Amino acid sequence: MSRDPTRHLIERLSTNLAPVQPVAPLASTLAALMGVALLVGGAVLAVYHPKPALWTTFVGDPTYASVLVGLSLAVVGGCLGTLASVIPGREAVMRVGVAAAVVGLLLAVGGAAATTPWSEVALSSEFPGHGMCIVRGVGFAIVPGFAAFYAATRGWSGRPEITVVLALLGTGAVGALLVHLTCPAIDPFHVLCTHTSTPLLLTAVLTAALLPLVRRYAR
Amino acid sequence: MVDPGGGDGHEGDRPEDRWGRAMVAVQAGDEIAYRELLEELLPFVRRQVRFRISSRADAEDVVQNALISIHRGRHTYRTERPFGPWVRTVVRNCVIDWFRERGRRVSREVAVEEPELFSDGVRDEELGAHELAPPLAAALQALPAKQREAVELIHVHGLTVAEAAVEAGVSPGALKVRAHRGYRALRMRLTAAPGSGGSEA
Repeated sequence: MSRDPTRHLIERLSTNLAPVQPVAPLASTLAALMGVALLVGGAVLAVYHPKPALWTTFVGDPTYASVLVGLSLAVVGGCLGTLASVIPGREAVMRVGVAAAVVGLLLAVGGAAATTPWSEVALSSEFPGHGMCIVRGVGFAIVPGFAAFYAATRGWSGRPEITVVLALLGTGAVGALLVHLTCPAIDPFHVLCTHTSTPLLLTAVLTAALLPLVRRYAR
Repeated sequence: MVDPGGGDGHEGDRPEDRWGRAMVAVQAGDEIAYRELLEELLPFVRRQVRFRISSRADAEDVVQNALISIHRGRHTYRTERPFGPWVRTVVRNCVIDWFRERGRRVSREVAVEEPELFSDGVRDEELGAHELAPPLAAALQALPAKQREAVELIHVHGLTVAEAAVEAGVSPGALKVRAHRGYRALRMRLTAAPGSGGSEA
């Protein structure tokens, strides 16, 4: 046994050193992840068709626009933060991603909540419709979610919990955004409960389950 | 001095620039460059850790974990990025992990009466270096293989957590979990086994 365990460790680590492939640049990984999201988005829009009068609604309905812009921001911020969180030294970029995701979600949730007629909520809510939009949102998020987690496990995560939360928020926002683009409903309560809740729901339910995976493969 | 590029053209460089260039050779699998890099990094890492952790023994554990983290995460360094923030982040995360684990450990620890393992008159110095008292040896043999390996590497062979992790081929965190489960199982077996309890001494 060596007298200095740390130098002994250095000997062990440097013996039979395997070559490694450096991670791809952050920008190209983000572009690839956004490409996956766009492909899924294209397929979803081809199957479910965009909401009728999408542009008119976007321009004329501030609630719809704030949710759309907010979720888009959350997608980019969440995915950027996820990828930056697994590269040591890129904390500044990760913080930008976190800020964008939080602002985006606040914009989406706040926009929908601000215009919800709370006194009429009990009468206007249709829970079967809520359930279907949530299921679709989760379904649309599966492929981008796998892509984000695959990309995350290629890196080294010092803080896996942040990586998992950001990945779930970002890819959950992809699903929510696609639901928002395809769902014909404009009821702010429905938008609040289903379109904007998907990323939050996914994060709340799956963080504990996915954390061990990221701890295992991204460390 | 680590300088895979030959060294002459880079005299006067900051160490972090030199280390960054050395990482190119390390990523290609150059063992000598890697050993030199880690040797050069060691005082830097120790400074970073001891600035935050006063106990020398604990700090050295964290230094070893940081070296393992550098090893495991060496593919995440890109040469166009500065090396300093990369290595500081890796070390800082290891320090944070240590503080978190210490917090958890303190909150979990329960004072228990140490079982008298040598109550049959066998004294510590009478046992060989790797020889265990019969009750402990029997309890150890009854552990699941992974837990037994973790406990033996640390307490029988005297390896540090970081060394034991390399030996077992798992992360330091995973090894600590196995060892912790092993301790718990050992404690339960030893306190439950008739004739081994401290009350009989």
